[in-house]
Amino acid sequence: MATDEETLILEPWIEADAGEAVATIRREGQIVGSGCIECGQAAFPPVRVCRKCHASNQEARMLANQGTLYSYTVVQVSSRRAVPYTVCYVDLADGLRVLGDLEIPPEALACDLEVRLIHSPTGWAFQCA
Amino acid sequence: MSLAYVMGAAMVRMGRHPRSSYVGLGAPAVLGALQSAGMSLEAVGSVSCSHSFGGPLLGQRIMSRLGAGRLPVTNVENACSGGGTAFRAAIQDVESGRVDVALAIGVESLSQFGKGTLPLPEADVESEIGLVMPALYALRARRFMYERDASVSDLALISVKNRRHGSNNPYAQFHSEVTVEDVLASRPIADPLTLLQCCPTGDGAAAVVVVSEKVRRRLGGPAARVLASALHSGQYESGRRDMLTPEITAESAREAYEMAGLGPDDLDLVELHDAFSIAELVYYEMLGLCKVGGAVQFLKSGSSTYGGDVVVNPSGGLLSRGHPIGATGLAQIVECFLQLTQRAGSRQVEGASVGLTHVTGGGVAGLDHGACSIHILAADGTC
Repeated sequence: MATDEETLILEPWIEADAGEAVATIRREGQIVGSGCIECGQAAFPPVRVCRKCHASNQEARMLANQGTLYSYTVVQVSSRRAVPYTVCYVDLADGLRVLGDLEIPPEALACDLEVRLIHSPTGWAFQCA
Repeated sequence: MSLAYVMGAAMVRMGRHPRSSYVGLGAPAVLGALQSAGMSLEAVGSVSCSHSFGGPLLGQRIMSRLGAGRLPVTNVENACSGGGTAFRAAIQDVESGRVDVALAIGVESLSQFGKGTLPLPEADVESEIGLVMPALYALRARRFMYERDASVSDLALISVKNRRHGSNNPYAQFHSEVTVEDVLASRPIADPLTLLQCCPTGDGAAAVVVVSEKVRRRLGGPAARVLASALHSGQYESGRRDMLTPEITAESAREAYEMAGLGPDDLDLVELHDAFSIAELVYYEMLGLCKVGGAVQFLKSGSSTYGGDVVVNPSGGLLSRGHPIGATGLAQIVECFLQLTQRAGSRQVEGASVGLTHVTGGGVAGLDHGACSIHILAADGTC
């Protein structure tokens, strides 16, 4: 079969496994995302193409490890993990919102608390700043 | 472009039907819808079939069981908005003039998954961390309570209202009423949400016959005219998102009102996506039924029940009727059709002439929801 040198053969992306990405954070206690070299937009999980300017020029970037607690819930029924567990949305200082575990005593919990990411046995957890 | 009319609609009783199959759920809904339209299977020109977990070629399997082949069948998957999306496809087939009669079917059997939260198809980072659907709505509820100074009892009042409405709906999964105390004392799912603030898992099917103006004139009798059909996807947001003002519903509503040439004040009834108690409060505001910040007051004043401004979820909503994912959007159309043709029995909204239906859902990290579908229908008497 004749092949044209100009023919563009597209290879599929091999996406980072979501479970692996979370395991890495749990292990290292640090969120690694990506940053766009063209426009600066950060992303987590890392992307190959910037959602804002669509450039494919991306680099690994360490994300902020503190932010503001947007909301939280203690989950009692789940198909994903052993219950109960507490998850929260945190707005990181560099502008990204991430979901994570929360390790704050119930009586101290409130929206808009300042929190920081800690390296704990469960890893991906936020505590009071 | 032809106008589109709903000429017939029917659904099977929702609930747990573990001994029935997808075809077993869907086929009677199709026959019922055709019977209500006074039409035969041969008149159908195209079929759109919505489901999320029914496997390949469900629409063809249902139609072939009834002996109807050859015609174009499209299977639709759009999570909780699948039924609304299939309805939209039927409307488009008629409006374009391609066919005179289009059938939309929605079917789901969730009892195959047992009890508890639904499986999420492809793991993303958020579901890996444990963001199941009730948890997502719980995060929204917690923030709502914080910003609006609302209580769990306020949320519970949604369940109380919708269970009361559903107690008059023979198609509903639940027929019993509940009190605020019952709701608060029910099993914790993801705080502040308790079991009675979450829609049940169940099975069901609904089907709707959409026809052209020509067919509608020929048949006569009561029908509902389609005034608007909107379908939106969520927009990715990497940073701060206000979970109390989901843009996907607000923008879909704006488009639908504009298309219909009317506003929220003109609605007699709304069937909206109350997958969890908090959702209905948020959507009162996003659909413009009340001002932003006014949802709890709107509920407590009785504005969203019989005798109020607009009856929200006369069927009992997802909380009472049930939520077989791919069927829900069409079950809403069935309810709206029955109301607009004054055939809703003891739950009839008096003089109902305009109704809105709203389904939205699907969890994708970074989106409020994956899809949202809104329709507006108006009563169309004998012509």
